[in-house]
Amino acid sequence: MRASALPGIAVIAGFGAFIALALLALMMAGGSSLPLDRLASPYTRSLLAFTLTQSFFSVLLSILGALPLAVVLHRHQRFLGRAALVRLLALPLALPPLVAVFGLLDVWGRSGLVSTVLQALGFDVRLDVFGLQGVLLAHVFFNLPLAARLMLTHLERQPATTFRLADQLGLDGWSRFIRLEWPLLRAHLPGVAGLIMMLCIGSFTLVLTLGGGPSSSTFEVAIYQALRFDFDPALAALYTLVQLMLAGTVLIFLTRLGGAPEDRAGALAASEARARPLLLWGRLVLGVAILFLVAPLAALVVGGLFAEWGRLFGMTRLWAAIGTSLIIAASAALLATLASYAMLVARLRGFRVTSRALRFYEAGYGMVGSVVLAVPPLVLGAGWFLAMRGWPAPSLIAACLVVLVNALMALPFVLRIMSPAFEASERRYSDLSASVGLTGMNRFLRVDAPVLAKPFAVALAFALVLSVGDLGAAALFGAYDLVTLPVLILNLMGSYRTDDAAGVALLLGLFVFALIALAERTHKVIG
Amino acid sequence: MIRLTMATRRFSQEGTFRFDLEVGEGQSLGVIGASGAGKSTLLQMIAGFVELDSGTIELAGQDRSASAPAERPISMVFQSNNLFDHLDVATNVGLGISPRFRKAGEPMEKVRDALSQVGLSGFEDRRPTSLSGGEAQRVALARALVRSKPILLLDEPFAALGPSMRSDFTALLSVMQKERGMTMLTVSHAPTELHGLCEQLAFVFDGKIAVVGNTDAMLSDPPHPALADYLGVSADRV
Repeated sequence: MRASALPGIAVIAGFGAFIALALLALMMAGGSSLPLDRLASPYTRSLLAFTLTQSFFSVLLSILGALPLAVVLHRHQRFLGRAALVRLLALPLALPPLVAVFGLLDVWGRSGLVSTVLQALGFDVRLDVFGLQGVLLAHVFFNLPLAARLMLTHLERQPATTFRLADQLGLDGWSRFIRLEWPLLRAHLPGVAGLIMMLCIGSFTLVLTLGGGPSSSTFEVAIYQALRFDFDPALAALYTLVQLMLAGTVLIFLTRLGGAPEDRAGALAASEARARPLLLWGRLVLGVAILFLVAPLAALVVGGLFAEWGRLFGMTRLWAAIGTSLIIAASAALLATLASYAMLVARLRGFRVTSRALRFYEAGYGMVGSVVLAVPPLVLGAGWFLAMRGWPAPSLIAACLVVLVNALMALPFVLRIMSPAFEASERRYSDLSASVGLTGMNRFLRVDAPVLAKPFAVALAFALVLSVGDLGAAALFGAYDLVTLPVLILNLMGSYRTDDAAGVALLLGLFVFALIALAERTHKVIG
Repeated sequence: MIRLTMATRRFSQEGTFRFDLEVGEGQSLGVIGASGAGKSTLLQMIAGFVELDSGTIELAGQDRSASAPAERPISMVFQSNNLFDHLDVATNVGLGISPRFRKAGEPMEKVRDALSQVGLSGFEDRRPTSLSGGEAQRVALARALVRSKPILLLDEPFAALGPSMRSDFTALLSVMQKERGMTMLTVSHAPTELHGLCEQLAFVFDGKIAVVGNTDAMLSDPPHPALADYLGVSADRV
């Protein structure tokens, strides 16, 4: 082991301890009085049933919708607006769930666009978006694009000759799907389904806002309610255990499949692909997908415009929330990026390739890099929420904890963005740097910083996007006067100031859009 | 017969490729040139994978400039990834007969016959992942045989093969081409591999066909300075 491994090891040990202490605090809060009898209660049974039902149908609907969309997008590489549509598929992943809720309500709610249109057409229908249907709708809005993008990437990663061969053999329409696309995608579907299942089991914000009551609640929401409203740490600990078991089971299933599917750039350049006529069914698929994704975003903008902006900007709470959000998100993003850098340096430079220590390190690296999938931010927050009772200066500690939770949440994404660029730079400059004696800080300043500045900037921007929109950890610590923008939106919704909440959601949405656009531009320059 | 007249495609990064070429019916032409010169682009234009910005491509007497790949009288064997890994060998070959191929009746007989011609009898139920590089290329060739198209395009067909497999595959190709009277275009990095296979060579340079001639003459006495450079022959011989 070399000295360059130490910062990475310290990061992994630090984050590992942070997670372990959170879980320990939860277990200790439950103590010997863990209310195991509550496992059989009707409420717990309904939580389990709802968590599994909504996850199952979210997966099913997302995949059924994504499959034709991915096939059409892969078959048609050269129609006007394709690039924008593919970019749009990435947007929901970064959009704060609380922001999307406003758009979805404006389209699908009781007074939303769809209800209005149906009534104008003479149907006496008012859609009710709260409950299972609302949660499903929101989960499909977020996960259908994710599934479509993963499937599209999987198809694009096949050798270009596979599809040229299919073109030459006249495999088109249904025969192309049955002979080629379906067999390729079928092998990929369990991974996609597992990932979506994991996201839906750990869904918090969407269920909290659209669930509509105790009968449509998940364990995540129940943990939050047990801590914030009932102050029943033992019950929160019990539900955390159940939540961890559920998520852990899916994570083991995913690991057995070889990890979550990756979202990468394709192999067949658009310029190489032949233009083919877009048939009616293809147009239909694209039209429905665009409407489904764009309508809530457009509605979010229109809805936000009705806010009383003068009064809103005069609110001290708004400016305080903006300040808090920016400080927390920037700190979390910086921490996630620096931690990732240290972890990557240790992984690529800190050990001999054949050493046993590297294998141990890799295990820790993989655990910290993906733990957020199994241990959601709310659970981590819940552990620390319980641990910090009675501590001095709770606001400051709460802010630090939210920063740590958010940094940990962003870590897998930041690692995924930085890792390929870092590895490429390592392949190219490792021997050269060694030959001229560049090590440590010199190597960082002369090689890493200039070469990796852009990928680092992209990673930082994505971490910022994820952190600024997070409600999970911040919602718990709202009790310590820690009000971020998502918490402010939730508070405004709770006091029925929906227009103000929509205005703040629009502000948050615009900030996130601006960051994504900046990151995408930088990404384009890199790639 | 293959005829390209000012067949042009402009790429934003790679630049412009413009080809004029004529290959007679039943002729076997080798295509050589440095990496990035445009050899594979030439084949992809003929096969229809790269669409033309201008110019024409005539195949077997018909203008096929705008035809889809499946409509062209062509079979193509790629450098690698010639087979669908999730389908067995018989179906991989049978798809050359029809996209709706079923492993029964006359179509299956044709598949067995083609596999036997390339020396792979009994391989019908094997998966591509269990085949060696040479066997996979033979399966691709069997599919080209059942397609019964008059033109065969081969893009670096020897690249994934070891030395003994290369000579076996060259011999097999040569026999097939002569027996069936196919017009054949073979792209290769290694000119010597084309020696026994192609009576003529085309040298691609800077997105154009710089020179076409008899294989022996082209290799022993390069008629173009860039070809001499490419072959590593001293300039005073040019």
